[in-house]
Amino acid sequence: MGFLQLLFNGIVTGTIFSLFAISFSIIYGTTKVFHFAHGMVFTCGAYFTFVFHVLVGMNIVPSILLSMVFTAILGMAINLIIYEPLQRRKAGPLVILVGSLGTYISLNAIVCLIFTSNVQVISAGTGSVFTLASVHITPTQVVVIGIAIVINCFLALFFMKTEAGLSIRALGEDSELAEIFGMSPRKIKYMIFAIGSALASIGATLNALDIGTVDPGVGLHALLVCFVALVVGGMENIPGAAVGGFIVGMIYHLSIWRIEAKWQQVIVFLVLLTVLLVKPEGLFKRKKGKI
Amino acid sequence: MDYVSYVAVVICIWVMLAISQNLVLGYAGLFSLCQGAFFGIGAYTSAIMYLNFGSNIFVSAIVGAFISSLMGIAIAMPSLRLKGDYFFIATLALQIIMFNLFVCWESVTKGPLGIYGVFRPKILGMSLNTNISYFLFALFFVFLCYYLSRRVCNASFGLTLKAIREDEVGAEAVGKNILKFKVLVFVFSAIWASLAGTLYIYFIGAVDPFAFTLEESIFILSIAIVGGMGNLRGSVLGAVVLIAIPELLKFAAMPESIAHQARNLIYGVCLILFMMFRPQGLIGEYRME
Repeated sequence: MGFLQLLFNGIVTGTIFSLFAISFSIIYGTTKVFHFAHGMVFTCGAYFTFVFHVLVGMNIVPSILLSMVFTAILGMAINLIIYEPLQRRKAGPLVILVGSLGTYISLNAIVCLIFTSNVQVISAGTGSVFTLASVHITPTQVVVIGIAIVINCFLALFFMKTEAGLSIRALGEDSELAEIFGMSPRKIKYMIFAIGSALASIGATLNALDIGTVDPGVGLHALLVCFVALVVGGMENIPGAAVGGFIVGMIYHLSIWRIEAKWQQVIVFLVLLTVLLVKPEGLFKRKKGKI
Repeated sequence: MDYVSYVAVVICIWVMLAISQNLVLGYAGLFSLCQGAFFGIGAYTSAIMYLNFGSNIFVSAIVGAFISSLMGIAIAMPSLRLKGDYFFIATLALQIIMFNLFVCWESVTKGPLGIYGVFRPKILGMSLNTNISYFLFALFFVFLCYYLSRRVCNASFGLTLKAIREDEVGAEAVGKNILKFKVLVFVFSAIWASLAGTLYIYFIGAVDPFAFTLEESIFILSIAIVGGMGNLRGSVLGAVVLIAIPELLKFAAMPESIAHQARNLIYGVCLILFMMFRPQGLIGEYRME
């Protein structure tokens, strides 16, 4: 494949990955919960869309919206059933992480029991491919980039201008101070889980439409992308995570240029280890007070 | 009887893995999720040594242990700088890289198909072709592993590890070389996981990468956690409970794929319930933070 084609594919995958990373970073940066079960939130997001779009036969737009609602409910349910009771028992971060791992394994088993672990086809074919300067572009890819841009603008406005967005940032900055100012951390946390999970659903759905299939393993893949993006972009830093996700997507595709595709994941994780060893605070250091 | 001793061998292998996880997590307080990778290195090294050089089980075990202890050193070195979630992600990265290596490095590991044709070893002129004889052989290694780990953990080495777990700065202030202890415990733990891998490959006779996934590492973690951390008897108990009980599912006449998922569901729910109601595990001495 030509370099330009890889560059374009990298941009498409990069925008999807940055959605993944944002959805994880919103939760991790503000509630400080290492939400490993987010991996299954991705999977369920993709499967909800699969159910509404393919099994029920609804149009794609309402099925994505319904999937966002259901995934948001799932995210809030995980917070209600797993994290809140653990935090009420004064559990430390490691205990919460193990609880999250348990949630991940259980949800994975449930999805496999319902849908089997086979690959399911979600979109038939790629539609009419058009070519621009020797780069093949599918309509799905255009839609992916469009939706990603809209969501990023919307998120930036949300975190800068609206009261809800500002209160989420306040909670991430200093939860005690936020409480003193009369905010309810509990309510804000539910809001965070709802937003993060809904975003995960969009990301996972776009990814599924881009590659055309869903299987229970997509969530883990997306989660691993999140970790790399977070480490590269700096933990707890939403724009950093977005850029990190984009970089991971680019590495994914540009590495194919010279190296066989099967080594993609190894390369990405070697990048992760290198960044962890050399610059553990991430490439983009966050100033206090910024998002 | 043959089936019972089959399950007993499986329990033996996972007792060793759980002890290896317990040494790192329960004693040193390092949250690692890469025991499956060490397990895989042991299994693959032994299989390759056996098929390419015809080496006997002891030589393969030593070579496997050597390679995985090198990996152990590599992952323990940054543990001074990387704390909490960061260290967890680093070990996760090692686990993913090793799994991909097993899948992708086809000229050595035969890729996703795996390696076949490793036969049971002969010890002192006796072939271990029955499950019972292999069980006795594996039991010897479990005792060795348990005894040595116990000796080490009750000695000043183990006490220092516990001190580091509870208060790293304090341990450093009384003159302990933290890095040395962390590296040593990782090497020690990697050796046992790799030995478990050697026992596994000679027992099953075939190996493919899907035995060493992230799920496997989480499973090893759940045995160590359910049994109890900071207590070696806990690891034995955890392996017996978490392997023997799901084996009973096989009698419930479920298809293999459903039984596999049901097993995973049990492990997951176990992890959640233990974290909520008994974070130190059944007979653990260490409460994670």
